[in-house]
Amino acid sequence: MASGPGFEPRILGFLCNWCCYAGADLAGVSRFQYPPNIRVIRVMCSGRVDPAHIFRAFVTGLDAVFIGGCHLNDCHYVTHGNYDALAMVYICKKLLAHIGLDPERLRIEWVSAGEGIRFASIMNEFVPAIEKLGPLGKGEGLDEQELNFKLDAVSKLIPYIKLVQSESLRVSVRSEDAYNEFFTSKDFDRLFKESIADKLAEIQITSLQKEVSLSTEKITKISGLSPPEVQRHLELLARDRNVRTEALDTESVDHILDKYKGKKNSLVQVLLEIQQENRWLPQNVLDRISEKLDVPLSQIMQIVTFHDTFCLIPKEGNE
Amino acid sequence: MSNKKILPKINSASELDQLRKRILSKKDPDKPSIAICAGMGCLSHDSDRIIKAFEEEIGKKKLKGKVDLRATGCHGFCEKGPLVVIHPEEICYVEVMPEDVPEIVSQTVLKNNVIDRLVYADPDTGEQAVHQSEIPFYKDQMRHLMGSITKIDPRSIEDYLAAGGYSALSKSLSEMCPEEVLEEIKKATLRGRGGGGFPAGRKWETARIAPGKDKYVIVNAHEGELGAFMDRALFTGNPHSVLEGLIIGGYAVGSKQGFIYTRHDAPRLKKNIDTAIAQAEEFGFLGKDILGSGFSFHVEVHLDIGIFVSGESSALMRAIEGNPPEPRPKYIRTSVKGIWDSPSVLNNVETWANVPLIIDKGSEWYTQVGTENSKGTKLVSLSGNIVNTGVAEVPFGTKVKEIIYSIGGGIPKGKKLKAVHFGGPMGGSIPAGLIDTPLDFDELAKLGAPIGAGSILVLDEDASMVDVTRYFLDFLSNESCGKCVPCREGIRQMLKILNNMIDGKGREGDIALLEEIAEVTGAASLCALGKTAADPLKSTLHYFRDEYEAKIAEGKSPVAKRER
Repeated sequence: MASGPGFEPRILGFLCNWCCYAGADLAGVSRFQYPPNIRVIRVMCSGRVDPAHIFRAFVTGLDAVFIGGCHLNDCHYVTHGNYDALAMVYICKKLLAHIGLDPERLRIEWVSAGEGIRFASIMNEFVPAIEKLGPLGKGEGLDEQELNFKLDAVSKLIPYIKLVQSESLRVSVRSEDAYNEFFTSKDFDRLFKESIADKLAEIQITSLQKEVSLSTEKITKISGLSPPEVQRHLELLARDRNVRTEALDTESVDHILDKYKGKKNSLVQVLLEIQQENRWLPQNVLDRISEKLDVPLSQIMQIVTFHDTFCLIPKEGNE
Repeated sequence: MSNKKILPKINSASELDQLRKRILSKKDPDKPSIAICAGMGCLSHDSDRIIKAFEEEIGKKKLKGKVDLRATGCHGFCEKGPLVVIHPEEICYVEVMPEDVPEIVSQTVLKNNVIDRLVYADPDTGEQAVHQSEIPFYKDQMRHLMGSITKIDPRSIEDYLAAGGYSALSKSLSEMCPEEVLEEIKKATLRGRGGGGFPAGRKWETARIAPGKDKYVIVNAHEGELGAFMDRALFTGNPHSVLEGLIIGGYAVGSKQGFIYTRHDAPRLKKNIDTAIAQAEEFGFLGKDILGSGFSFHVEVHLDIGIFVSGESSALMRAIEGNPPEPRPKYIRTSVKGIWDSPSVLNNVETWANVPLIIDKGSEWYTQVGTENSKGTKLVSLSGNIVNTGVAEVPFGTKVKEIIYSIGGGIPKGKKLKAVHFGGPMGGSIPAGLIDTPLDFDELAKLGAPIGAGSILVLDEDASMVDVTRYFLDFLSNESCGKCVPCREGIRQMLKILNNMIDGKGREGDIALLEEIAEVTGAASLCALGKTAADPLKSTLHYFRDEYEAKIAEGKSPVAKRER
């Protein structure tokens, strides 16, 4: 779809402190010309950028996200965070494509501190490309409601994606070739479909079903999944009903907290009781406890990760 | 099972006496009463089905009110469970099945006939023992703490009052000042039963004179030691006795707040403690102005998060504050700076349960039993290659041999005794040749096998000491909190060497290396877990060095691997 006249894309950039940020700085100091559409957030390492940041940018309506890091193997940290950034970008691109957005809206580049000219030329190329794509969603022919629904589903899935990534989407060798090979392989496609895509469909269906019970056709229409896919997921969901993915509501947490009269030293007891009732400790519950007992979240995390009595991921209801 | 409500909240010692008289007058000593063991061992043999069967049978025969029925705490003789004791004759039936219940009610309860088939018979001689006190397992015990268990329903404060409960508290509050209570405990030379054997009186005194407005007393009911189950048996079976001890301790130390720290995976224990606290509050043994004395005391229950190290004193106190259970260096004792840096007295279940006894009967009576430096009785749990597993209570000074052969019934299948291991994963072993040693804190510590909390693991000739040691180190390597390096890495490296040895990959010099690591781990670790982690290794290296050498030489132990 052609973009309207005068469309000025809004682009968010995450630039690594050591390389790309300095490169962009140099571009400015050297007075290289490039379009001013990018707004920059400086991060200590490109590996710091989280899928949550990227999708938050899209949820708030930005048209593209740019990530700039050091050249591979030039990372200033022993962890080689730019490889993590690369893997994350591959997965996010796949997700974007999966929900019908153009993966070109997300771009990662390596720019060293001395490559001011390279930064400027990348921007000179990237901004017109996004201009051509048009505004987010509209450019792809998605209406606003549909776009929001899909981005919302992906945002909900992000903690899960990180879990999958650390478990099954890891590349053992830190080399550019190995990364490119894995993330363009059939294996990756299959893993992505089995774990992430299925989970995403599930989340979409549950959030649709939450309001009213919908027919398969209706779900098909809103989620954009094929009817047999929807049917398969509905069956799967019915089977897994005893998996408690929904967190306890604030009221029941407060009820338990009230029993201990908000005493700070009742923290362990509160956690044990919720663990027993809910079988796992969701993030929102921990936040609530932290707020009500006035105990820092770090202290709560220290306790719940101390021993395997506590569980931080959903667990089956009856064991 | 409880009688009609008698007006609660007692305001003075004389009111308590009156109440006790009223309760006793209602109790007919000749009324048959059935005590069914609901301890851990018997419950695993379906004793709750037996309790139900009795309830039904009593209902069917219209005996309600004429027969008392009690689901009691552990009777101790776990080997032969489920156990049923019928008072007033004290007829003891072992290995009872739910199908036996109608016969017991119609024959024994109603007609006083003994059912021979259910009576304990000596496995060697076939001699029968009808009454509990005649059974060899019980005959040589001295059951000061456990004796009343068969007469008490843990959920009934009236049963405890009928057995003379809370008279020690009333005596302390009405006739003694806190210093006198403290003096009595010191005179009784009560030593902590949790492992260290530190004199409780001295600990209390330190906390009493330590500066600080708030002081705390704590029951350590964590009992994570492998093979130890007596504290749980005592606390579940008679929670009020521990609670009473704690309140008296609070009075002596000058504390207004007590804590009970126990396991999150013992729901029955938690329930009984909660019930006991609620009842004590209702009757006025807890709360404000106890028995009209002006002394106020409250108790809170805290649960652990399932890690062994949380039974360590400073870790336990950190946990009560709401922090992760990590030990801290103890340059300053917890009795001076414990919970929230206030003086805190921590004793284990058994120690607290001794307190009412001492106050009630006096330190002179108490010190008649025991050895020179270890007074009173000790609960021990027997496990391993022994005929009678269970919980026994013996006076200090009893020879280890008597515990194993008279009470424990010896080694099964006619095998020979090889070693006796005390104190679980942080204890030590003595070889069969030393079993004439009396049960005594100092005597056993001298042999490198400190008594610990009182778990006794008996090992027969087939056991490999290297395997046993490996097992303990494996347990500790999982339970080390990881805060200090000597403990975390030392245990792991010792375990690695032992694993290699057992896999036939032992090398010359391994033993010297083990000894060196054991010494450093013991000297440099932060808390008792690391300091004593190598104790089983040290004691087995001392007494059974040849087994280690043989493992290295042949790649396997001289005896066949113990079957697990």
